[in-house]
Amino acid sequence: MTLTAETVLEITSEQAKYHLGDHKNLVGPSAIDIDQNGDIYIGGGKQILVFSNNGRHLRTMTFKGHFYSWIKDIALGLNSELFVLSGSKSIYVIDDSVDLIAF
Amino acid sequence: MNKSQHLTSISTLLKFLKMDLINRVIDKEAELILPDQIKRYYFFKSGSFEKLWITAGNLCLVEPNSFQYYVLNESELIENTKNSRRRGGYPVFEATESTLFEGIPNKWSNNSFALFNFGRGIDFQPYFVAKSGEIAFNRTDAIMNKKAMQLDLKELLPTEIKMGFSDILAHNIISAGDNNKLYVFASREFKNVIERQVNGKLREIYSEKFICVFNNKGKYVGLIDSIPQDLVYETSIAGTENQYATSPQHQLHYLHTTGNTDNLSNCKSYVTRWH
Repeated sequence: MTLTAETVLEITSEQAKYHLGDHKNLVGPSAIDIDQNGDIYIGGGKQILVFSNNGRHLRTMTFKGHFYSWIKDIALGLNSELFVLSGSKSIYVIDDSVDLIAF
Repeated sequence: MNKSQHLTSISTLLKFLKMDLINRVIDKEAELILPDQIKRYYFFKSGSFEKLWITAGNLCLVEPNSFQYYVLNESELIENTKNSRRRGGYPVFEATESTLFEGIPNKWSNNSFALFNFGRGIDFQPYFVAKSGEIAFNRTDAIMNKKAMQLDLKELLPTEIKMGFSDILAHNIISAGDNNKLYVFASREFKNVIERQVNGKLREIYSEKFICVFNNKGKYVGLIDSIPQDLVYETSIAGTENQYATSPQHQLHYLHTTGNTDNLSNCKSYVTRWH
């Protein structure tokens, strides 16, 4: 009972956005979670990136100043709240409905 | 300040301005998370947590070094921190007996159980993977009495996979979510020494990567093999039927499994990788 994994899609410019290394402050290992819409949240360094499930980069959120340690893990709550585990024994809870300030 | 010191100061200032400009350009599309946009913040008095996940309102915090983890629901977290000491205006959480669980069976001492990896498994709670290939975990029905169970891959794998098992290491575990499957990333390395007259001995190591799939009773149900080599070192995993993983190479991988999950021979599985 053996299945074979195979690469089924060619690389496209749209999928190139999945190359996370291009984003500043996002260093591995990275945290990941999926929300109810299928959007993919990637956390690393001091940033959280959001992709749609077809690979489109939706947004980037960056902690500034008050966040002194790197993101260890992220998790999405039932009400779209974003839980962020930091290296300083802390959990930050961010309400995703809050409008963040564009840099 | 002499002329040389002036030039040094100006040079330092220019470097700072240049770096600031570069940072602004790179961060052009970023949104800032400011302190007042953080809804709540909890500081834990102790613990060295590495992993966090949430399922059905429960929050799990894993502390792999001590083989312990916390299971909290959000209201419990709020209640426990309401009257606690505060640091910098934020509540300080202290673990209680009811929220703390041991991650390994009592018969395994920390000395004999060399932790290799851990991950979120079936039934919400973490699975701890030993270098020996053994996996320790709690089942939902065992949480109340805090008794841990163990799963030994050596006993569960079919004969053809058991061969050379000493070289097999479980790298990570994927929660199966809705389909109640446990996915274990593993690698099996084949070592081959090739004699070359020009270069002398050249040692080449071949690796085979695969995913073992178990059901929620711990029964082996199938194998997905020929996984791209850089997928096996994934650092995080999420999703249920559609699995996503990030790799240290900053790539996002996508694994999709369809079909009757009780019988993998009827499934179509593939791995897609974006660069």
